[in-house]
Amino acid sequence: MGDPAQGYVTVLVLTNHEDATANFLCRRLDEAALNYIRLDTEAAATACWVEGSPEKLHLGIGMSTVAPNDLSTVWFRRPKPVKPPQISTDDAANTFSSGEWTAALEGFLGQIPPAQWMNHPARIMGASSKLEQLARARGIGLSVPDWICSVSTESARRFFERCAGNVVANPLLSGYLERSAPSDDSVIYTSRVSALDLDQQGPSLGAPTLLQKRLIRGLDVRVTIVDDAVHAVAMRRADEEVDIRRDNMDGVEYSPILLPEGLTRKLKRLVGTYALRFAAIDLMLHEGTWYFLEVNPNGQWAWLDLLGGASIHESFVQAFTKGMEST
Amino acid sequence: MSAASPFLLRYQEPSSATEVAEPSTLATMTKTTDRESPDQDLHAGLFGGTQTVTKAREATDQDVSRISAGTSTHTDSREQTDTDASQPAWAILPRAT
Repeated sequence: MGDPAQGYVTVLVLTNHEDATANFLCRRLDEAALNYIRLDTEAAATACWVEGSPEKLHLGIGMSTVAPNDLSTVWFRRPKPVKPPQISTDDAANTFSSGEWTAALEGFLGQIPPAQWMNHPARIMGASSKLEQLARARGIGLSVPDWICSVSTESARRFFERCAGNVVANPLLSGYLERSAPSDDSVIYTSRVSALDLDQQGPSLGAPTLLQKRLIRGLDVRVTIVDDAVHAVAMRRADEEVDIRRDNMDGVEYSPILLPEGLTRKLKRLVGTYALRFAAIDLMLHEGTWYFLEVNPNGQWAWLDLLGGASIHESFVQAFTKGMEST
Repeated sequence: MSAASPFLLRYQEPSSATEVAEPSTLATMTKTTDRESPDQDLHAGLFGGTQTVTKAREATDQDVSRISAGTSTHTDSREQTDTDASQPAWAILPRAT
């Protein structure tokens, strides 16, 4: 961890202690001798302090003390809720204490302009609706696989026929079902829909359901944008044509790929309309056409440096360095 | 219309089939085990405290409106406060420019 004295410009990393991607980048920040402070937010009640007055608010972490103006960039990775300090046997009192910690932290962080965040959580939230993404991408001129969202099985059947039976279903929000026992958790990947599936469903799909035309034998491409830098990695898996994420992505072959200039411009424009400084975008190259699938405003990327020949961490270092120079 | 089970549930698979028992560092970096959905991350994240905070603020606002059911100016002011409270906390926090 960097150890800036009070008044030094520094980067604040907001995440949790299990975040391997943060570990990965923090090592690179150390190598680049960049000042940073890491706050694993779940431990905030024991790991940091907030002290304020009408003149200034300070955040202390370990031996470091910073004011909002001392921070050039906030890297919003995967912060978790502040764990209530066990001050009482009364759960309500503990929850109250946790809420006060959270409010104080938010009061400090709220004084940092959104443009200095990578990314600001409000911007992440604003970029997180899959249906809105599809509409926006199309408006920008990106190709999008034909799709419907419906609760009607009859509508789904008509779409299925229109696509000659080549249809996949996608969760709109999250494909992960968390249960009380982790061993009972389940996951829903992008899945191919069959006529039998629809026949067995009844008149309602039960919830709004996103169905998309299946792009057969397309090439998955993950594009990671960090400020102006664009990294594109193609991912191919011989034994899986619908969703390469299955089985921990075992067997995926990676190769860096150069995107057409016009496509890069459109992707940057898309990210710009959300005012994001970081985005992980899923594309598919199918019969010469680049299709937009989705944008993940807080997506994963470090594994692409380790397996895919990318150097995304360097773009983070550059972005953070630039932020320090302009602060 | 009677409630139907969501169509997508038919495609769920045990996560244990795709996640190794003790994920390697690398596995936790991929988009498989991460449950990449940003919304979920946010709701489970630090500022997912938002919901609890918002509820508490709404409760406070209700108290205020009960105590001082006063002039239209006060009402406007309370309405504004209620509107703010109903927004995600992070929609109203960043005031710095």
